[in-house]
Amino acid sequence: MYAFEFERPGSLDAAVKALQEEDAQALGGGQTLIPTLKQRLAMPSKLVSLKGIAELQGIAQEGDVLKVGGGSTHGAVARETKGIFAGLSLMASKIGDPAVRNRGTMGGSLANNDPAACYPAALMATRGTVVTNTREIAAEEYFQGLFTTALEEGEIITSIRFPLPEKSNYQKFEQPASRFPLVGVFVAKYGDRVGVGVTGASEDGVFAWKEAEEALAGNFAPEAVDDLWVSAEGMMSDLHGTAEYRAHLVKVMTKRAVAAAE
Amino acid sequence: MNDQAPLRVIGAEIERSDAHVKVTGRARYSYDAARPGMLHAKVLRSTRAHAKVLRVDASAARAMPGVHAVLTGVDLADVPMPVYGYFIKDQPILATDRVRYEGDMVAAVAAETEGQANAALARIVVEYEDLPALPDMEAALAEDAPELFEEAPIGIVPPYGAGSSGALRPRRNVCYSYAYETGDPSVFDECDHVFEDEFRFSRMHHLHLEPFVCLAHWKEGDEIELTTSCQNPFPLRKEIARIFRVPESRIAVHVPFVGGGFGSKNNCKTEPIALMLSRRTGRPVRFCLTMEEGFLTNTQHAAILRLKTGVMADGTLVARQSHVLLDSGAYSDASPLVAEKAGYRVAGPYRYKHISSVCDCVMTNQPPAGPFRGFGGTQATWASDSQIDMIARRLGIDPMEMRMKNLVDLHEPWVPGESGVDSDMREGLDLVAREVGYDRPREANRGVGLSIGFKDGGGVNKPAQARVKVSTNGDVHLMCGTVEIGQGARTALSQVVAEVMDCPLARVEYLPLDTRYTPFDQGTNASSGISVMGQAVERAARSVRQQVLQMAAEELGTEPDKLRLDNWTVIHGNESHALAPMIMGRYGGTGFEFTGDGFHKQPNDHHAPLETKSVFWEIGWAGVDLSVDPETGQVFIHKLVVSGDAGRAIHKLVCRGQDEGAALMGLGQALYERMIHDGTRLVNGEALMYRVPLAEDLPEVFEAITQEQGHGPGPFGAKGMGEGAMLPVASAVANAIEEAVGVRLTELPLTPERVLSALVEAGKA
Repeated sequence: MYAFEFERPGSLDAAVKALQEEDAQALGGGQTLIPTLKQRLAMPSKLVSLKGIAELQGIAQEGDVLKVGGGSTHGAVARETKGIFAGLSLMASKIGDPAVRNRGTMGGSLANNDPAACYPAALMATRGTVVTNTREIAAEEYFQGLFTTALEEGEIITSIRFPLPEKSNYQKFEQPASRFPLVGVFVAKYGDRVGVGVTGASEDGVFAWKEAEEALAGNFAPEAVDDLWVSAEGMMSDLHGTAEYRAHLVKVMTKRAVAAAE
Repeated sequence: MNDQAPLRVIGAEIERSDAHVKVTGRARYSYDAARPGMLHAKVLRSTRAHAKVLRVDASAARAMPGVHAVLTGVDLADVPMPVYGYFIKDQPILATDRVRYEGDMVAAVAAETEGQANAALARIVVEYEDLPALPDMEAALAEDAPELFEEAPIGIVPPYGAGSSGALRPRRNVCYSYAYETGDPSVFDECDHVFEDEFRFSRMHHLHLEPFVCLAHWKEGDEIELTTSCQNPFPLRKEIARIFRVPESRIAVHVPFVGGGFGSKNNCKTEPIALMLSRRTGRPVRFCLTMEEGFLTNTQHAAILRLKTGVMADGTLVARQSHVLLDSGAYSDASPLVAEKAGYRVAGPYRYKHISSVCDCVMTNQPPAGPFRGFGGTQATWASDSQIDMIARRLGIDPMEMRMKNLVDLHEPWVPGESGVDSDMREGLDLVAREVGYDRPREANRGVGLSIGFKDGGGVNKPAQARVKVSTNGDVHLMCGTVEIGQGARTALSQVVAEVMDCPLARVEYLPLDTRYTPFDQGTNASSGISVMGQAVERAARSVRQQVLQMAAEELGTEPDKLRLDNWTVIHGNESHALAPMIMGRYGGTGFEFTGDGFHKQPNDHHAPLETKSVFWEIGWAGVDLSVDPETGQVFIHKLVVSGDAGRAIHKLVCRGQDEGAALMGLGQALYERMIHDGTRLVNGEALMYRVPLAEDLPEVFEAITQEQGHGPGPFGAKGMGEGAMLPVASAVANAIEEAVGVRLTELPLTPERVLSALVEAGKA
């Protein structure tokens, strides 16, 4: 590892201030950032750990919304949302392995916005909100393509707000080597609408499959999407799967998520 | 030991002799070797697949902090024979005028730290002139392809026996070709059906967890000391002696525990560069490759296999012709030997009237391919035993029944001139079929597949020598060149000695391997540890035992056959005599050390196709019960049953471990593993992108059954182990997929996307 400064502020204000320095980088659980540093794909001169900030912790139901602190680990999400938000709990329980789940955070994952990360599918399907130290950003505005979000330089995700669905489920078809989703589909059913968030598939990152959302709003059953077709155009194609295969899997995983929703 | 007495150590439930040091992390590997004043080597690798090297400017690197030496191709002028390889010496220690794959070694640095070495490498400027690159076998064999080696490298064709032949450079970009023929090809005319099929086999990496690593010290007076993670220290010593023109007697190769090799750690890998840098600096030099570099150093052979098989309507096999192409990569490495085995083994365990087989090693601009667990047998079995299943289904015959009908019998020579098959292959097939539930009714999209892998075992022309010494107080020293690479050889060979010497296993010490003192051995490969070395060890132990009993008989005034040993006492009727005082009485107070030597080699035999009869036959049986998800193409393994025949299991748990490991490697081959290239560039040459089976990939039920049929040539009826169970897994999975969903895949690995495409093509998805 190369030499860099390390700071661990105890409050959100202190973190915001520390991140104002040039070339400072926020560090969540480090599950992406640390390997990136090791490979010298990024070499920030200062890391600001968000671990010690109480404002970023806590998972709580607030009426019909679930609020998850940005610093919540996947392990905490998996445990503490069980029985409140089945789909999210399931999703978190299958990210990486136990070591990753005990370190990695939801805020870190959403800030990084890896095109094959799991959480973006849940945030998109629920049309949730990202809350930062300065503002609230709706899911559809938040995601802006691969590894790109609406976050400004130095802006910190303090919490994520998910409107709680009646039923939800997440189906992940694993990329064979890393076990990131090759395609992951999150389905959230509400009284008047259904959300379908798709990750891993598109060249533009997470997206809402709106045709399926409409069809499922009328009939929340796997057959409702039978007549829909997902175009391979704009889907990612790489050594782990072709665009055609990913497009095919979007539909299969959607049907399975609907069938399994609880 | 009394030959009628029950065995005490062989087959006993005893702890592996290296279990404690390994699980507590105290076992030392070459990776751990360090010396005061040691430097670290790193190499610059070619970014071009095929190019002339016009200029290498290392002047800036030489001035970097901590750098003690920089080598480039011009420095090879000091080396008498700066190329290596098995049959063909075509791989230079460093590229001189040409690079032949992305990853070829162009320059090397020795510095005080690896970081300094890497920093210096970044300052080396190489000017290339690109040449046309040949990324795969089709490109290399094309009419207008350039010849990758314009001049023929030095090479040899070994002597072959009846029906076999070899040829160097028979055609463009083929470095070696092996052929075997027996019987009359006109029998094809009698066949009711002739089936032609093509199979493709993807290339895996060995993914040994201990990297390629050595610590080299070229001392004053041209004395060489080398600690290396290597499977064949004696051939390595010979190669080092030839390259640097140093007497073998001045080279000490030490091999401590090896952290996995699976075939890759044969012959020169890191050693010549480390030695050159040590000679240049006078310091010990450690050269450790990263895992990513491992992918670029040695791989399995990708293959295209074309089979033409003639059969009668009742399923009786008559004739098989085959043409196998092996992607050998940029340098020949062990390719000619692998070709021999892939070409020889492709007929499989069945009886034919005519076999005709050709196997070509095709040079491409890819990392060099070499030995890999199964050694050509994996490629051969994939094609051979897939096609047997396909033919059975085409003829409407049960695939198991078709196999049963055609298997070579126990003790029947596999082909004319060969040794008799030393397992009842029907018994093994019956066993796995029963265990996997072959006759059970199936649910939709669920299928059971069987397969048999078959290879000659114990190596060709492979000698082994061993020495057993016993000190006055009864401490037993075993000296032999079999490397402990995880397979349990130290335990098993020590057990053989303990059994013969009638002493507890703990009294037998397996001495560290040092080529100066350890008796000669050809290498730890070809499942030869027990089947060949075991025989040498047993002979050495029996020789010592006989000397001890002879001495005791003389002291007691009786005959040796009236005596037996029991933990360093000698039993004579109802009397028991401690040996230590007896020895000191006879030889004086300082005592005596008894030494016995043992040697084994299968005799040369020109009637045998490979010039010696196969030492034994290594057979792996597999049964797979799986489901296919018709919407995603994903395969779920409900049950995997594999079995090998140990002949006699010296250590049952170790045997099972060998079969389990081999089967999981086979499962990786079947479902996940392949090195993926974008043209000539490897795109998944790292652990994150290269999928190997993990604990969570274990089948729901996984059984490895060790048979002990008792027909082996090794000690106490033992046979070799460790490769057999790898061979049949991929074909068993493909056979089960066809039974489950009616589609046949002929290209590995059997990825979900490929299965789905086959289903779509067949109108089933």
